[in-house]
Parts: sequence; C-alpha cells; structure tokens
Amino acid sequence: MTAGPERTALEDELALAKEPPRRSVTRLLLRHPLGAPCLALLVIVVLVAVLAPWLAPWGPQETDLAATNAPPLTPGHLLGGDGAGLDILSRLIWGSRQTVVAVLIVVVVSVAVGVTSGLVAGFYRGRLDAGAGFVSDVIMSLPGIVLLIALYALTGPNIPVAMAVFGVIVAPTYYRLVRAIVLGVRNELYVDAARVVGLSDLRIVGRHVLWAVRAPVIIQTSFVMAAGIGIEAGISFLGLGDPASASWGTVLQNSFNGIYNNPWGVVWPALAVSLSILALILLGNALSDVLQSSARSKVLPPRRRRQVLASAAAQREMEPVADSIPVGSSDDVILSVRGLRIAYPDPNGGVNEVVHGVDLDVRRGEIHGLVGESGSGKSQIAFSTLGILPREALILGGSILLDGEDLLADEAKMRAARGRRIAYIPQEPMSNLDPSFTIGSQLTRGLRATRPMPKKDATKLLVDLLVRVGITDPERVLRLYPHEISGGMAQRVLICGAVASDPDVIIADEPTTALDVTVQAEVLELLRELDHERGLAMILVTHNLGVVADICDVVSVMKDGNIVERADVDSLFAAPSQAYTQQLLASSRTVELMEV
Amino acid sequence: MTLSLAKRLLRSLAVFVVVTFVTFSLMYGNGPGIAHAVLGLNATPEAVQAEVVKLGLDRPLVVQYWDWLTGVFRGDLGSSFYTSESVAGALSNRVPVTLALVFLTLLLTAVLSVILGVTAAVRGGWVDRVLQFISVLGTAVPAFIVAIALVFAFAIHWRAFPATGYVSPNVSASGWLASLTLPVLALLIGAVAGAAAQFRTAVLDQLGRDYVRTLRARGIPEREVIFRNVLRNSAPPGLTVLSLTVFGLLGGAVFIEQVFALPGMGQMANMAAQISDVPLVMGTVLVAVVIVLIVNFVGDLAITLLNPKART
Amino acid sequence: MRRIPKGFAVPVTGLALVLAGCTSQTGTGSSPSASSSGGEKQQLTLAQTVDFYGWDPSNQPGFQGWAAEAVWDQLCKTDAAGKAQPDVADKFEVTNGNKTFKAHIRDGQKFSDGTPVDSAAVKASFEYVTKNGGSAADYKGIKIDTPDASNISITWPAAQGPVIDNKACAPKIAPASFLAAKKFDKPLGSGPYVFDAAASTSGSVYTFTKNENHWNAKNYPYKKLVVKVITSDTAAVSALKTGQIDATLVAQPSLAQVQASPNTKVIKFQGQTTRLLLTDHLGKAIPAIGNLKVRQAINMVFDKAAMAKNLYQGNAEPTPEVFRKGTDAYIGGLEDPYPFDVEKAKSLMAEAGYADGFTLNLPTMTGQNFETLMPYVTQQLGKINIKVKQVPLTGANAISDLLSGKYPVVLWQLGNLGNSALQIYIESTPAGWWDLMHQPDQYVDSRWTQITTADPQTAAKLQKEINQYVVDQAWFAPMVYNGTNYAYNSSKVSIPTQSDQEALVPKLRDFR
Repeated sequence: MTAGPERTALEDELALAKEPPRRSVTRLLLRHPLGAPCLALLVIVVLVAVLAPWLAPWGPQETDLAATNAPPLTPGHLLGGDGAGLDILSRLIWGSRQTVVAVLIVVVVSVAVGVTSGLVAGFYRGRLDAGAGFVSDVIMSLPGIVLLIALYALTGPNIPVAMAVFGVIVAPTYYRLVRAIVLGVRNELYVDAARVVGLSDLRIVGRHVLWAVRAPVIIQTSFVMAAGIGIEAGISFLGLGDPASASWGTVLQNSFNGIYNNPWGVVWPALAVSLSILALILLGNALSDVLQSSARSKVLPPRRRRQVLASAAAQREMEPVADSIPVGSSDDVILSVRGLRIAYPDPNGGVNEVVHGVDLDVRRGEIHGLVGESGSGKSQIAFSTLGILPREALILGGSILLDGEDLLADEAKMRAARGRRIAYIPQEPMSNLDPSFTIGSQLTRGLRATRPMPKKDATKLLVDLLVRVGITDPERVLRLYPHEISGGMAQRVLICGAVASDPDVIIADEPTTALDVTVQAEVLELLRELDHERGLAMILVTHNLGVVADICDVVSVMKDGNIVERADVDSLFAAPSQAYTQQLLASSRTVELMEV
Repeated sequence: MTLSLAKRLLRSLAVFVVVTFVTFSLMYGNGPGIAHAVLGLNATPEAVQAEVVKLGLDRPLVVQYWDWLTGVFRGDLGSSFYTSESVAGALSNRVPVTLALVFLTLLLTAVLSVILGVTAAVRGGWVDRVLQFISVLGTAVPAFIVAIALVFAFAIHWRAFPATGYVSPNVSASGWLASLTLPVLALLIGAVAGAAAQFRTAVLDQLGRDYVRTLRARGIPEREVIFRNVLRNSAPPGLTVLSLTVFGLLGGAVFIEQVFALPGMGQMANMAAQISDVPLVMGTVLVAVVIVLIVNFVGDLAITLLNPKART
Repeated sequence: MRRIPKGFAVPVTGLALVLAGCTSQTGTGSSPSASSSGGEKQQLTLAQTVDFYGWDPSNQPGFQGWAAEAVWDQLCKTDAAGKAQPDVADKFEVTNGNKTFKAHIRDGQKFSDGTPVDSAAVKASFEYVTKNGGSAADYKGIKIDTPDASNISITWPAAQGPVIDNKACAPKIAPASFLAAKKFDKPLGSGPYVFDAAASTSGSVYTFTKNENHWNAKNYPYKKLVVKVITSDTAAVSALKTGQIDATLVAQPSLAQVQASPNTKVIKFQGQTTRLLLTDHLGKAIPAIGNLKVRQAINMVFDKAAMAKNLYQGNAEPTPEVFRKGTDAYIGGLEDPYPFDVEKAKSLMAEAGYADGFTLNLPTMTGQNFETLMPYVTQQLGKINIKVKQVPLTGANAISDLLSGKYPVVLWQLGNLGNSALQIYIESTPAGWWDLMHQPDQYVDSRWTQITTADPQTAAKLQKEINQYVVDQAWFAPMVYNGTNYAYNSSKVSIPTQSDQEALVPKLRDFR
C-alpha cells in the first residue's frame, strides 16, 4: 500500500475486504499451492547434503570399473555410472554438499554487502549514498564471467572464493532494493518520532527500517540462491570447477563429455540443477504472494467465479425482497440502483461481501450525497455505475437502471453509457491524469471517444469549457503536461473532462478532499453551478458532512455496506432518525468545535 | 539537461576506469609464468627473464595499467603476448559475432516480451498462468543446458540447423542466419522468460493506476487505453528491463559460444583469461564495459526523453 | 571440452598441451570440396583442436602443426621412426661421431617472396632457433659451416647420438631477413602451401593455396588447404558428419558414434603410454619413492586389463613397458614383472617400512583425461595407504609447474616416440624435460653416452638394456598403451602413410 499520498476511499475499502487475518508467514506459505512442494524439495536437498555420508551408497571417489558408463537401473547403480566408474547417484548426493555450501556463501556475502550498504546509503544519504551508488554501478558493469575465469587462472579451482566473488557481483541487486525501500521509509512519521524520542540510529535502522525491508530481501534471496546454483553449475561446466570434488556442475561436465557413451548420464545432474533452481524461483514467487500484495492478480479463476455468481443468484431467489423502493416511482429519476451486491475474493478462496443489497435513486438536477465512513462501500456503488470496478470484484446481484435500462445486464449498454451519459470526477487530481500526455490530448481524446467530432470542434468546445470551469488561459493549458499545473487546476481540468461529453449523470468521488481549503470552496461552487445549468444528476461521494450541508439536496448514509438512512438535507441535519446518523453528526460537530 | 548528461558521461568514464583497473590487477604479478608459457617448455631462465622484460611485465601494476589506458585512448590496444597479433585486429573479427548474437536476441526478446507481457497483464486468466509457467521454467534451466538440448535435438537428431560454426554475413546472409538460429534460441528462452515477467509487472502496475481508471471512465475504448496510454507509461521500466537483459546476454554469450563453437569475443575472453594473455583479456573487457555503459547511457537517455518532467 | 594427449614434439609450445582454455572458433563458410577425377583435388579441410600462437617459426607446435608444415620446409623431415628424410636437403649424412649433420641443399627452391633457398637462409634459420623459442637449449654452442650456397654442415659440441636427426630436422627454414625483422603476423617460407591472409581469420580459420613450384608438389594433391580451429569435440564430430570438415581428431567418448557414421574411417594411433612417472628414485623429495619396494608396490595395484576394458572402452592395451611396439627400445614378449596383486603390494609396502603409507600430491590438468583416470588411480593407491591429494594446475603457470619438479610423481598419458632413443633422452636422462627431478643414474647415463656415438645395432641393444633397467627399477608404473583417434571422410580423403614419430596425428604429407 502506498505510504505517501492519502489513500483514496476505494483503496480503504479494498484493503478491508482483502485483509487476511493475522497468520504466521510459514503457515500461509505452506497453504500456498506452490509453497509446500518447493519448501519440501529444498529441505530434502539440505537434508541430503547433511546426511550424505549415510545416504550415498558409494563414496564420492569410489570407482567400480565394471560400472563404467553403466546405464540407469544397473544393480548397485540406480542412476548408472560415469566414464570413470563412479556412481552418479552417489556423486549427486555428495555434490549436494558443495551446492548447498556454494549457495550459502553467495547469499551470506551478497546479503551482508548489499543489504548493509543499501541500509546505510538510503538512511544517511549524502556522500555515502553517492559513493555506494558509484561502487554499485562499477560492480554491475564488471564482466562477471570474465572475472571469474581470470580469478580461476589466479587461484585455481577454488569454488568458495569464486562464489564469494559472485556474491559481491550480485550484491548490487540487494543494494538497490534496500536503498529504494529505505528512502521511502525514512520519511515516515514513525521514523521521525523514533528519532525525536532519542533512539540511536542503529536502533532505528535495526528495528524499524530493517523490518520494512525484510520481505523484499527474503524474496530476493530466493532468486539469488537460484542464480548461485546456476553459476556454480555453469562454472564447472566451463571447466573451472574442482575436478576432485563431486559438485553437480562437475558431474554435468563429465557426463556431457561422455554423452555419446552414456546419454542418460547428463539427464540426472541437469535435472538436479534445474529442479533446485525451479523450486527456489517458485518459492520466491510464493513468498512474494504471501509477504506482499504483489502484482499477482487476485481475480478468481473463471470456474470459481461462475460458481459464486450462481450461488448468489440462487440465494436471491430465496430471499424476500425487503424494503426496496419500488422501481419507477418517479419520472424524474434518471439513475436507479436496486439491490446491488458487491463482493471481493478473500485469501481463503471465498468471497467477502462489501455492499449488501443497496437501493438508490437519483433525480435529474439533484445532487445526491452519499455519506459514510471509510470502508462503508460508497465508492463501490459509485464505480459500479460506471462499470470501472477492479477486475477482481464480483457483482453478486442487483441492477443499475439508467433511464429504465439495466446497465448491469448488458455490457454493451454499460460501455455506451460510460463517459457519455454517466461521467466521473475523481478524487486525487494529479494521479488521475496520464503524466505522459498533454492535457489537451487527454481531454480531446476523451471527448471525441464519446462524441465523435472533428478535432477543431473538439478543441473549441474544450477551450470554452475550460474558461467556464475557471481556467484563464485555456490554449496554454491544453499544451501543458499534468505536472506543470497545480492541484486545483487539475481538478478543474478533470471536471471539464467529465462535463464535456454532456452527460446526464455525474459521479463525483470525493472531488474536494485532496484540494486546499480555499480551492475546495471554489470547486464546490463550480459543481453546483454546472449542476443547475445543465440539469445534471450528481452522486457526490464524501465523508465530509460540511460538503454535504453545502451543496447536496438529498443524502444517503451508508454504514458497512448498507444504506441506513435516506433523507433530504435539511431533514437529515435537523432530525436524523437513525442512531448511526446521529453519531456521525455529533462527532463531526465536536471536531468542528475543536477546530474552532 | 546538458549538465546532467555531462555528469553522466563523466561518471561512465569513472566506472570504466575502475572496472578495467580491477580486471587488470587480477592478472598482475604472473609475469614469469606468462613469459615461460609464451616461450614454451624448454625455455631457459635467461630467456624467460628476457621475455618478461620484453613484455613489460616487470613494471609496477599502476605503470602497466596506465600504459594500457593511454594506449586505449590513442587507439592502440596492444598485442597478444602469445601470438603478437594486434588486439584490435583480433577484436574486429570477434566482436561482430558476439554483437550479432546479443542484439538479435535482444531484438526478439523486446518484441516477444512486450507482446507476452501485455497479453498476460491485460487478459489475465490462462494466458497469464501460461506465461508465468514458461517464465519460471525459462529462468530455471540454465542457458547452457538449453543449448546442449537444442544441439542434440535440432542439429544432430533432426539435422535442421548447423550444430556449430559461424557463417559470416559477407559470405552468405542465409547461412549467417542459419548459424545463429540455435544460439539465439538458446539465449532467447531465458531472456524472454525474465523480461516478459518483468514487463508484465510493469504493465500491471500501470493498469492499477488511477489515471487508467479515469481514462476508462471517460469512455475511451479499452484498446486505446492499453496501447496508447499504458504502453507509453510502461516504456521507462520496460527500457530498464531491456538494458538489464543486455547485461545478462553478454554473460550468457560466453557459454553459448562455447557450446556452438562461435568465434565470438566471449570465447576469446575465456581462453585468454585462462592463460593470462593480458592484452586480449583487457581488450574484451574494454569492449564489454563500453557496450554496457553505452546501453545504460542510451537507456537512461531514452527514459529521460520519455519523461515529460525532464524535458522542461 | 576435448581431452587431448600431450605431445612430445620438439619444439613444443607449452600451451599446446594446456586445453584449459578453449578458443572455439570455426571459420567462414565451408565450401563443399569437390574432388576432381585424376590427381588434383580442390580443397582439404582439417579441424584443429587448439589454436597455435602466431607465426614465429621457433614457436610452432609439433602436435597438429599442419599450418606450419604447410608454409615451411625444414632441412629434413623425420619419419615415423624419427629418421631424417629429404626435404630442403636432398642429400645428407651424419659424421664426426654423431656430432655433425652435413647436407646438400636441393637446387631451384624459392621462398614465397621469390628469394632463393640457400645455405645462408638455412644458417640464419638455425641461428634463429639457437636464440629463440623453447628449444634453444638443443642448439647451444652449434657451429654452422657454409662452404657454398648449396652446402651446409652443423656441428654440435657433443655427440648427439640418435637424436641428431630430430635436431637437424626441427628448425623451419625461412629467409634471414624475415627472421631478423621478427614481424610474425604472416609466415614466409618455402613450403608446399602459401598462406592466404585475406581468406583467414586468426584463431578461427587458416587458408592456404598450393605452391605449384614446390619440389614435392605431386605429394600434395589438394589445391587449397583450410585449417579450422574447433575446440569442442561435439562440434568437431558434427562438423565431420555434416561434411563441413574432412578430418579431425576425435575424443574417446565420441568414437563409437563416429565409427558408426557412413563414409568415415578412424585411424587409431597408439602413441601414448598411460603411466605414473616415479621420478624421485633417489628419494630426495619423497623418501618413500626412493625405495624400490614402494615403487614396485605402486606398480602392482593397477588392474591394467580392467582399465583398458572399462576406462578406455577396449581402445587400449595393457603394457609393462613404456616404449612403443616396434621401436628400438621395445622388448617384445616382456612378461609383466608386476602383475595385479594388491595383497602382494601391501606386503611390499610393509617390508619397505611404509605399511602406514604416506601422502602424495598428484597434479591434474583439464583436457588430459584425468576425470576418467584419477578416481581409479586414487582409489587403488589408497589401498596401500598412499593418500593422494589432487593438485589442479591452472593458468599460465600450469605447464611450467608440471615440469618444474615440484611434483615428483605425475600421472600422465605420456607419449611414446618412434625414435625410442629420443624418448629415453626426454624421460630418463637428467637433461630430459620429463625426467622431472633430473636425477643422475650411473647405469642409464653411461649407456646414454655410449648411445650418442654408437652404431645403430649397438645403440638398439643399449636402448633395450635401459628399458629393462627402467622396468626393473620401477621408474614408471606403466598401465596401458592408448592413443588418439583420427577420423576422416573416407569417400574423399585417404591417409595411406603415417609420418608422425609421435604417432598422434597424420602429418600434412600423409593426406591424399
């Protein structure tokens, strides 16, 4: 989750929906489909390495001349023998020791060098950072293989030294990773707080910063170990390994040299190497899933999705339709939500319902406030009307009627309405503009996507509209990039974009929360004006009762996925009927008083 | 921007000097051994000593290095201790082979990983799972094992491609491509596996951003959102992935050149490093470092140009 | 990586032996060589497993030295038995008690730059190797006499015995100016071929065109010679199978495959004797090795027959002596005085007072088949409590370390020579580079001195005596004869003769 800018309401809700119950990492890992088998394989490798003297049927250099180039399943030689009469299975067992030791050396060296330097550089910055960055660049530009070969010419086949050097070569990956995280974390308030309290730097770094870094480092370690096995095998394959030892790479090299005499001999070491690397990589992916909400999507597999939707439909049949406003109760209603139920997958494979059958009506020209605390589900409803819920969301039931037509039932209708008849004003202006394209290009494309017209006409329309929303130099602004305008201006641009296609409904998701106080008032005023000018219906999602009091006509109060009260503004503030609404009003007044 | 460019250049130069110095010092001190090896078995101690002086191996490390460095800037890369062949000449034969291998692979990697990464990120589902499976497998099996398998399948068993050897493009363009097919394939699998997965991550990251949602809310067709906005914003991390890929390919080339008997600079470095033929090793290191620095530089430059914030 | 045996040839570039490095290059497109009917053939494409180091005539490898053989002639060329055959010299004799080599230079020979091949050039060539290259010691103190442009005699300070032919035939004949300039980016000689630099890439492919004016032109039917450097055995085998090359050395593991291919014949040379060299017979560095019983015990722990059958897939032959069959020193029908008997070996060790054994450092090097031999040797020595510690030799120092005497006992697939006297010189006399500890021995040294001046029959008898002595004294632990395998495309190439006294590969002059 972002540690920097304020989280949006939707993010809050999603976070709550997806929050796994507190569980130990190991248990989670074991439940992950890949976690258990990979961990098992690796544990087996380590065990084999430790127990080699008892497991291996033959010694590492014990030859049986009769077994030279023996095929697999020869008595006494399960995987066959190589060109010198050595037992391949035993050599692989003994070889696991060198593999394990080699990998350990790589990891220890690279973590020690990389993580420490990353911590120091990120935390203290300045010259240390510049110096460490330079060293990291140098190391990353070093031709690793050539170095290892030159080292070989100097030291002879010394795998521990070679692995240590490789560890240094790999260290910059940790350095970069750790430094980036530390840079992010050191600005956190809790670090400042720790400093103020008087904790020593070492303590701060050791406890707090290191804690933030542990997940990525662990994940990276898995991949580094995989690389270590690959390099050890590769070096031995090139002929730089210790011929007297029985490392997997040496076994592979010997088998490759004798491949015409005993083709099977190559398969076993190749498998040993590949499977170990595979296990480590999959383990890394599993750790990544478990320790971080990483880039793996949480979308349910299609079959499961259908199951869930089917059971929801069945459930709906059985439940009585309670307390719903009859459809079509007023001709003025342009947008109607009926019985909307939204759910998200939970980590255990089930679903977590966040909106429990909500009904909502919005009339033309009406500003309908949707109020509630974080996580109450208000943004969910807003997004579902536009059809821009995240991919993992599941709509379990309900309908969204625009002028009587159910958008949820027909994807094509939803798409046609999006942007054209229902428009969106987002919360955080800067992050909602594509940073790589000019304002003009984004606005023009948006407009022409819903209302095809020549470019010139579109530009003229937008220029006029920009003036209307309060931007004084519209032609210049059209040429600017998002980072060149202020937050207030950006929000106006977004409002312009929403309104340009002449929609019937506007969904405004906390449009003023991210703005300065002075600008807030202006933007609200603008919204009200536009609404009255064009007869728009507007759903205004907010947690700020002041905003509600300011411009809303009707208010729906949401709590935990349900609408608990619905009333016009004056009635709500004067005489809230529900206990929750009373609570809300009371606490906000208290805060206001305190602010005064 | 010119100032930061100049600073970057200077930094690259500093990196270059440090890297070459480190490599040089690894081979220092072996003077009599090298001289003896150059002269052969029966060399008398006097002959060996004379050779040491002739090759300048008795001078201090810094002096030898400085000599080499100034030579580089003059365009003189020295001559092999063993064959007296000019290093520049040797490189001019070898470098194009490795470059052909690396950059053909890079081109294909770029195209394939963009296609695969975008598809996996956007469509999810089974495409995504297949990509992840391939990605893991491709990264797991070391390139030289892949190469061995390819040699046996395609060259020896099915006789579809030449198992070894390199045909210069001057001699035959089709022969050149044929001789590079299997080597490129061996490197490609691992490279695409890694790059596609990283590109997928970059695209997914963009897809999760607010502006994508807002663009969709505008009614802009999904196709345009993906191929115009998301791809454009995924380009900087994508370029970073590609420059890292070059680095990996340069390293992998040594193994591939070994298995396929390609006369590239990786092979030359391998042989030269084992017998401490310092000028040849330094020559290949020089080329490798320069390639890496150029690729990083160009990549950074491209990313900067792509970033509107940097243009003002 | 290919395992290539060490050659003996004088002069030998140290690094031709070290195959730790692999320059794997193959050249530009191989044009299929059609052979025209009749004498003239178009192109012979050979593969070479290592590159050679430049065109310095004093530093050319003898093993796989086809490139050098193509561009340079020598005063004479040795045959398989090490006897001199005409080359630049058409008539020659050894006089002055084996001290002088007197030769008449053939008329009408020219170097590829047009200058004549005369006694001045020969003299300059000999003087050059006296000062340059690894074999300089062999020519120390020689006196060269050139009475006229067609005659030359070289006199050594001491009698050379049977090795005089080798020494006289070794130096490449090049013009004085070429040698003086010391610029060796291209060769200059009077050999059967001329180097085509434009069509060559150093380290990858070397191209030569026929010298029609060569005195022995009809012996070389191919108009073009191409030598490709292919270090990978797999690569070479597939190149042979697909017709990209005509002939190549083939390593043991690929032998069965190659033999099964159509139109492929394999010459199995037996130019090597796999053995332990126990060179510290005075016990200076390793006292135990100075004890005859210990050396005998070592000889008795190896099952030679099993080694030949298993480690060499039957492509080897057990032997109790180190000299090649048919050479002067070879004793036919010699019964193995050290049959395979581990118990007897143990009791011998006990008698010698070494029941508890000792530690032994054995050097290893890549490409010398140690991966196959070492485990068995180590295991068997372990049975008489000799604890072997393997010392891998790497990098530029490898060869010099190997021959430095740091390791008195070495396991090696050491060559045997067609000229067994030369082999005795190299392995068993203090001056020889494979007599690692260079220790004198009255019996051997006195006989060697006699051999240097003796007539051929006496020399042969003395050589056999030395052989028997060396066997009795267990200076070696011979195991098997083995050798290289040379495969060629029999539908195109034939190799009717064998001129390599090292018996490792055919010489260029053997190809038809």
